[in-house]
Amino acid sequence: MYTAGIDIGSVSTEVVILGEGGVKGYSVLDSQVDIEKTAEEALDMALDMARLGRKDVAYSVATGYGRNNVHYANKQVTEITCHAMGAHYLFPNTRTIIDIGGQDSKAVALTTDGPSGPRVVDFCMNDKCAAGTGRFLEVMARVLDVDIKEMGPLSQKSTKEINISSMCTVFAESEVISLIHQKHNKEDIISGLHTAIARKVLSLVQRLDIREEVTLTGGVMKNVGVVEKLQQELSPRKINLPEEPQIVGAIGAALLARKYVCS
Amino acid sequence: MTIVEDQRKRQREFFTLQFQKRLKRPRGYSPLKSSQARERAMFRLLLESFREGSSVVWKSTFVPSEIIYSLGAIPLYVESFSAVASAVDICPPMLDTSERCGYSRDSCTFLRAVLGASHKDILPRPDALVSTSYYCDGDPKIFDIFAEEYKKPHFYLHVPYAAEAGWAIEALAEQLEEVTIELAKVMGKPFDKERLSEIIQSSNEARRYLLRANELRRHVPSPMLGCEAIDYIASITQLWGSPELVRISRLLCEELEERIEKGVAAVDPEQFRLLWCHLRPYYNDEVFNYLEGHHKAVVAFESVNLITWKEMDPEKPFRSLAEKLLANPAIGPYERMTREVARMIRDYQIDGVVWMSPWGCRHFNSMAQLVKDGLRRELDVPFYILDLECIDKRNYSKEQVRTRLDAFIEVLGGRKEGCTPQV
Repeated sequence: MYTAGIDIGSVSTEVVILGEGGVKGYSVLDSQVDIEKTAEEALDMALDMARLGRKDVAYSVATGYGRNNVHYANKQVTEITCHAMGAHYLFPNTRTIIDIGGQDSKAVALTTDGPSGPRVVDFCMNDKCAAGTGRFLEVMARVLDVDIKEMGPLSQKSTKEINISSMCTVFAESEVISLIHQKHNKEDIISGLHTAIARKVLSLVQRLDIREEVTLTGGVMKNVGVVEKLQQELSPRKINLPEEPQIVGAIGAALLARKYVCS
Repeated sequence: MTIVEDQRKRQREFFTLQFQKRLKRPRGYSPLKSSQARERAMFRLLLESFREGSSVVWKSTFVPSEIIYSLGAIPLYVESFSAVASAVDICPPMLDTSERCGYSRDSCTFLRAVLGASHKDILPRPDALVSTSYYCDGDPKIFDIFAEEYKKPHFYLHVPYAAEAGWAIEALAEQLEEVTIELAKVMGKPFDKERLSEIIQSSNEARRYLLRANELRRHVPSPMLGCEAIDYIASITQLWGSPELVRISRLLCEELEERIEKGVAAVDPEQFRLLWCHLRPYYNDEVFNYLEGHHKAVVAFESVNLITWKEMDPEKPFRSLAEKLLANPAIGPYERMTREVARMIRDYQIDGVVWMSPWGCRHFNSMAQLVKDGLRRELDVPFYILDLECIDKRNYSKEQVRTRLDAFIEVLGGRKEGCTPQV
């Protein structure tokens, strides 16, 4: 039996096909204006990778901000629950999840106490502004004229600490422009941005009862610089980083789909 | 007719029209007659305060209305005017005005809306103003501005933070007496202690009915929607001391008893029982409708309807009113609020707490995490701090709020089902 998890985020769309032995196929696409079309394309790509057809999918769950727009999904579940389920599947000792996505960041507390497996007990999400999220990094990459994928490795070459505000994306952008004019190295500026993101997210996480192990999820966790800063701040706790952090929500959705079809 | 009289007349007509529109608003649920009567009473009070010759005293949240009624004046609870203005969708220009005058968008939207309204002169004019220092320090500061604008006296009650200290009652009672006597001078009437005692008796009678109503609301399934109940704001309503509140609260009890007897459930089937802390968004009913209608999660009780003060002694009106004011758990250390929230959770068989954290309400927000952590040590009940605006619809993002509510309901579902969500 195969199930599908579809995570429609503000920046990217991920689909995971789950079978008996684990993940059989997955896809990651940029989210387009036409959410339904993106969801269709992403499903077909993941099915191609798994060498399956749509008729093979017994059940599907949609998550993410576009979850209510996927007509082929059987059920909708929030990304909070899906990231928690996906993280627990990959790292069964996970008790805290930190997810940084395109336009929101969240911290989730999980328990396995009870007869029926893991469940979410508490969560926090960013409020009022998308500073400290994937969109924040995109804006900064543009201002600094660097490829977003290069930000992580570049920040590892930093030699100086720079403080950057994480209150508002636009204000931080003007701060970065001013730092460029002051001839600060890009590497140091990027490192400062990563610190700002890590501290903002940690202020969310610390509102929960942080328990080990901590698993990092979401597209921003592909950035080695952000991950390093989070590891430093959370030290000495055990931190897990999935091989593909961007698809954890879709894995969780596919797992829930399996649970629903079996119940 | 003078220009001012003409303007007042147009304002009365405007609010009457908006009120009629609001009453016609479909809710997919028959509101209680008592709730409609409460809404009418509130609007009547507002319209009455526009009438030429009415004596109007502007008051902030915790100023007891009883002293104002005893002087034959109308208490205008200005923050509640902001709620009405938000409900009839005239707030954005009021807020714009206050912002143009330099008041930060990060400050209390209730007070900013009133500031904008006063600059536009669309409020009933005060004869005097009374504010309290606690629990909102912004009140007296803004009331000073109003006093300056309207050239009217502003009286101020310093409410001790140490609300449970023995000296606090005496200290506040003295101030209440002094302020009442000063208000009487402004109104040109002698202070009548007997009249105040009568008002206190009326307030006591309404309190007994509202306590009974709160008790009836413990019934499972809940006989009343939280969306409707929250507007009673029994802890702070400006109707305290008015004969209307006695009639309304008596009718409320009768209607709740009838519903329970007939087995009427406000939400059917009732999936979850929530406790809602703070007020609500006034610009629309979406959040409550989504919880109670879509998720079948009834708001079984609201912190603003909590009655914590004991029956007042009509022979000692000022001391009693001081005790009433200081009994509010929002005043003083956060442990008082934690204790009351824990009590409400037990009394109303609550599955989850939604603590609304409004933009700019620094006093309430500063308590949120402390209360959550305090409860965590005592009770295993999910508690979500929801950032949500009461007055300014420009700060409301429907999808963001829905995702948070959906996730919270999933948490509650997970506890009930023993596994992940049933959404």
